[in-house]
Amino acid sequence: MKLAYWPGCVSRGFTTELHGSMAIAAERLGIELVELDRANCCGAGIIAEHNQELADTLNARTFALAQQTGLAMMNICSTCQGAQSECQQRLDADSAYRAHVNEVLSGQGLAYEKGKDGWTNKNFLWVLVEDYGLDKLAEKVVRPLSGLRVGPFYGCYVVRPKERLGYDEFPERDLYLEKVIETLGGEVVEYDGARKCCGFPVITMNRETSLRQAGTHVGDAIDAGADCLVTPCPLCHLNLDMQQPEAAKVVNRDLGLAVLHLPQLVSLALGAEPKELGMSKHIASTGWVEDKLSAVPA
Amino acid sequence: MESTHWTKIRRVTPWLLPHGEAPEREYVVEPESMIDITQSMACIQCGACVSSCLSMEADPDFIGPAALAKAYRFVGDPRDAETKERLHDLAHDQHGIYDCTHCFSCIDACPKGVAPMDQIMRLRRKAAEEGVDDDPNNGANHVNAFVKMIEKKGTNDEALLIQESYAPGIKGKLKPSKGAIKGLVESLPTVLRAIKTGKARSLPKLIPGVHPKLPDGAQDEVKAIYEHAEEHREEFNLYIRGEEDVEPEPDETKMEETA
Repeated sequence: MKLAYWPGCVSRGFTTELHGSMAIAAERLGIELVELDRANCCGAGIIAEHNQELADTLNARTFALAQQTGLAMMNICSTCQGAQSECQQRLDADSAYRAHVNEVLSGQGLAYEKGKDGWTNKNFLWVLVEDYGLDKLAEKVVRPLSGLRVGPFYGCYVVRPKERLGYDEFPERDLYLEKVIETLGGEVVEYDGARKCCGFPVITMNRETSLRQAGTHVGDAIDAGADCLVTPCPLCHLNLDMQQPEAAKVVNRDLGLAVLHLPQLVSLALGAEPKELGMSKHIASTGWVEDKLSAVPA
Repeated sequence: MESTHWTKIRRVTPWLLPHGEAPEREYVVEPESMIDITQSMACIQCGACVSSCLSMEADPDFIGPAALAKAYRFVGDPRDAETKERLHDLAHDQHGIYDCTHCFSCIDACPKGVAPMDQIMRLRRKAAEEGVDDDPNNGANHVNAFVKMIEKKGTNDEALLIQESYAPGIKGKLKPSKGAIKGLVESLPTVLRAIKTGKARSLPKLIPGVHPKLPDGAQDEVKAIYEHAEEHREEFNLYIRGEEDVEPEPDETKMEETA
């Protein structure tokens, strides 16, 4: 399997451990990634707030760069997925609008073409379940995550709105994290916040609202007995992990729950070690998770 | 006692505020000028969006999706004369348009396709267009900082975004605002922890502006996109325009030409 790869901004910023873990996961899974190093930020919904056409054109450029490689595209960020799907929905809805956007891209030798050879843009979670396959994933597991109680945390942008995100064709996309956790040998922890908002988008605008959301979900997962959370969204990771001590102050309770990126969880089961996955960079200690891991059989 | 729902609807002044003398008969408007607000007018006040709102769960004082969709119904109405005042009011309220956390719950909950969150984003866009850029929530600052940063760098310069969201142009000012100092100080412990674990132990993550731009002329391509899109600013609303019925073919030929 070979894919055009858009890592997004945050995986190369405050969550570099995600970028590194994805490379390790891809290698162990046997997925070849062609990184789109000329591509630009998805706009995270913020550029669309300012000027919708600008966000649509910027993402059309990324799609065109991916299409130029002749490969389907993969991202590793729920927010990239949602922001890009939103633009793609508008671009795909109308050929005149698409032609208007392609006007500026044509000067750069680029064009976004609707449905070119069945072209898709999917995040790692969707690729893993729909294209790679859970059976094949199960075969690659060398260190089952037995006894590890994992709470899924999706990130809004891969859960809603359902009509835009392909739930007609793939109605179980909001159950994939549970399926992956089980395939890796872990135990799924059900708690209230799995499909709720981490609060990150308003961290600079209403810190209290933002951190209350993060703190509440982490607290609920702890109460439900989770050893850690896993998320396919680095922006959620920023609020759930990087801001966790601040969130604890807002919800006025002790927290301290490890939050893993999806490629980290996958890589652990595939035999990678916590250190190479950058887990020591996390703010909330991952020690508890590491203690529960069995040794990789020689 | 009035329910919370209606108190919040009342909060956004849900009636027209025209200036000048009322006409003898009805106000006459071009039908095209009303199309923009038909989506928010489709609201039946069922409250499903309010029940689903994840911001309101964390902040019960948030004005919320139903009332803010209603607000757009009047902000977008060509007969209303207090557009800027309405936007100023909703942007400056700590529980106003910048308290929406962009979770899409209201979009999925709405049975009428109103997409309240989209209406909130249009309120933010309209506020910027009307020059309401001084809200104490740093809402307009954050959007402006983000948009400018991508034009300059192509990807997210996190250090610059934090600085510019709280204190735009801080380097050129002798006295940063009180809010800016508070925002920056509040984010300090998080930054220090990130330095400690190695998460943010590199110059581009600590010093605003060090982050590199896109390589090999790619940044110029991004700039060209900005010029084109900022000139046109087309807003494609699927609710109004709908999807094309027939799938046209000629798109493929375009691809071959540019390949």
